[in-house]
Amino acid sequence: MTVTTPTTPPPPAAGSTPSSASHAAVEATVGAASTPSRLRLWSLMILVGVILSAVSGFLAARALTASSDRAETSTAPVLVATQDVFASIAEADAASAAVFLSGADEDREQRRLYEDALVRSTAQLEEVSRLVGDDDEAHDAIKSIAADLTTYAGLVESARVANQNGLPGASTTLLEAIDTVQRGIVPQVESLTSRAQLRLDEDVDDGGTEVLIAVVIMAVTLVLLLAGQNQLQRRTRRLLNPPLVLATLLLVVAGAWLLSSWLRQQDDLDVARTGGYDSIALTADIQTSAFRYKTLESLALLGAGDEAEQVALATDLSAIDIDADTVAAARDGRAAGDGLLLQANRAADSTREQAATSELLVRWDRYLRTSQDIGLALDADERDEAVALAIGAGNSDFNGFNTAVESVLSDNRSQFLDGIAAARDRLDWLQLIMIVLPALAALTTLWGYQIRINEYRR
Amino acid sequence: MTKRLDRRSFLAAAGAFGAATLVGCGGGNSELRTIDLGGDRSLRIWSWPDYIDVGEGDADTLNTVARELGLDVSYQDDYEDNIAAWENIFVPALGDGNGSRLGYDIVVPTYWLAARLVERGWAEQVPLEIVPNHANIDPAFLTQTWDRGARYHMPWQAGITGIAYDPALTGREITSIADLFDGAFRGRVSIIGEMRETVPFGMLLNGDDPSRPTMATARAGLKRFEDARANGQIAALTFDEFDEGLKSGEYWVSMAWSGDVVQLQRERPDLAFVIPDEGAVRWFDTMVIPAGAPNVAAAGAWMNHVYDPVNAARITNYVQYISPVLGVREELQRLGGDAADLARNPILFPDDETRRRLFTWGGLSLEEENELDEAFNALF
Repeated sequence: MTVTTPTTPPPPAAGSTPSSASHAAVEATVGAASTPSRLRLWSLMILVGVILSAVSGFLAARALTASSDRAETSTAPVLVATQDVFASIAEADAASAAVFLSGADEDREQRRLYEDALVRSTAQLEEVSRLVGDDDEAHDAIKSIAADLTTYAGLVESARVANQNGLPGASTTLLEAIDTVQRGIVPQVESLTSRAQLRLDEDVDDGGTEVLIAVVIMAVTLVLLLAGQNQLQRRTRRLLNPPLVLATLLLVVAGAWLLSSWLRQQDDLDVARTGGYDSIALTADIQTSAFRYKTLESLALLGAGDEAEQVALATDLSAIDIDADTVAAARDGRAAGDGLLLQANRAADSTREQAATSELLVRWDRYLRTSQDIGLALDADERDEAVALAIGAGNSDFNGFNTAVESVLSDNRSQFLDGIAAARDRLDWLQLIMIVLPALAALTTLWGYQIRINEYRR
Repeated sequence: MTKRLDRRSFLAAAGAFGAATLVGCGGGNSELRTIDLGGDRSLRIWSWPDYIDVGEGDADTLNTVARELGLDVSYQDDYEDNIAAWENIFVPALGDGNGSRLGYDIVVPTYWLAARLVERGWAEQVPLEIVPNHANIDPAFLTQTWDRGARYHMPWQAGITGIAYDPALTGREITSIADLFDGAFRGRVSIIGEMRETVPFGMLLNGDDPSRPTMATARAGLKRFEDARANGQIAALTFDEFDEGLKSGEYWVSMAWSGDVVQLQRERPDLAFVIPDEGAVRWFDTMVIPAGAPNVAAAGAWMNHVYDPVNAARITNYVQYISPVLGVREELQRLGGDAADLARNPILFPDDETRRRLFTWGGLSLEEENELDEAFNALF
């Protein structure tokens, strides 16, 4: 389209009426001033709108970026790390009982697993402490866990020494250690997890209000811009003012960009939460229940087990007997039935994850069968045979199951953190765009009006 | 540089007989036939010599795989030296991120080299969706610190480095690593020429855990052998040639590989093999899909096939090393005959008590291991 500039400004169109309320308000403000003055005032009004759009857009982008940064660098890693702490402590607990049961000639592989898990849990706690920032309540919980962990390790060592030297009270000391985990450490880690989950929810919600405010301001400014162009069109009898059209487009792009970034970020966060974190939580539940089951098995061998709780845990995890059809169905992620293992399988959102969760079923079934044999041996008062099974095939099968759980957890963890990072990536350049596009819109607005004002000067 | 010759060359002839007894027993996994391998039907494997029943007619594993999976398998069995493979093949091909140049879909390095590949990101994940038999990995192989859960590797065969001896010559039972240093056997002892198997023996004797080595404990372990080599206690460092020395009476006591001893005992049943009281070293060679491998799906199909206990039993019957596949023992028992004898062999299927005394070298940094390799090689 070609727009020509006449040598003299045409007279205002008679009898025209403002096309919008904004237009009417501006006209009322302008009153009987000269045309250049009116145009200057219009440009000023629009300029203010554009500047407000820029400021509100920038603030919204900053709020979104800050909450995403927080989720990416703090909240999500804290969530993952607290689950890791859980897993490590549970592994240490199960392994320490296994070491104890192996007697004076202790099982060095289980001892290595215990020590490694303990070292890991300490390092993970330090990581959580670093990540939670200035959350005093979280720091208090971490201190308490660290203290309990020290107590626990001390009790395990005391039980070990007593066990190796045939001293009385070794079993009691180990039971005390297990109690420290169950009553002291587990609730504290759960509270840390809850706090992190709450913070993630807040991070997801943060920035939404700012985005809506910015979008409303941009919409109002757009109305002003359109009204201004309408008014110019009537006064100059020209169809379009290209700089003002460009300013309008720039503002539309800025608003759309902000809105789209926000919506896509929310979508990514939802995917990360449902596809990643919910799976992490489910898998962590599986791991915790399984470790608790294993601990109860050890306690039973020490004469202090709770068979009813053990049965309940096994049922929570899956049907007691997992048949070949179930495993075959699980490979396609369509295994029917109750239990955390089958839930995890159905929640799997990739063929790889389905395969990994079906391996969990196979390995859990393998361990459970050995565990049932241990129970039968205990029922028949054949404790030595039960212990031999527990520290042999039992530990081996359980380690197989546990490492399979770790693999699934690791995949879920990557999926979750990748999702959070993707949500953050949506906001790349957003702050800059919220400055640059409105700034260009402001310049082109001024330019558009100045062209017309200059015509009056001539 | 250490050079480890193949552990299996001795086994080829005897293993061929074992494979022949298995004609018709290789029930393939029907699930495999449904795997979509796309247009590329080629599978390229690089492994150690004599590590699979190959070229023995239609019944051998390679032909079975080719037939059942419809794959064109290129099996290159000239992988003979981990360090040479690392320096001359893996680093140049994988170090610049262009793994497809390597040209293999599966390589079978020893575990410590696999760890390096995994830690550097030079390995593909095992495609679990194609490998349901991943669930058959013996849990003992799942707790490696460098790949817990075996997501980047699948063990091929494992072995134990223990002590073989001739009771008629020693005049007594050998039960401890300390026996390698008994002056009564001066000049009649051979040790394995691989740092990661021999240094752990010294560490175990010192009460240290080879699965969690430090430079200090490893050096202390090495010192045992340096002193013994210097005073003539140790006659030689060997690879699989220790068997000839034992047979000829040149060596009375030898550090030895379990699979070789199983074969040796067929000829010399009087020779004994022990896991010392302090423990012994377990090693394994493992399948890794190199980063950028041309046909990951075919590699997965192969891994799944050889982790079917039926197929794994056939391989065990041939190579006679420890299978990392659960269910192999039952399959060997089902086969009866020589295979059933293998199922009863405690060297191939160590009991729980023995398994608790097996340690796998935990690994140090590349620089530290190079330093130890250099010091160890001075013993040759």
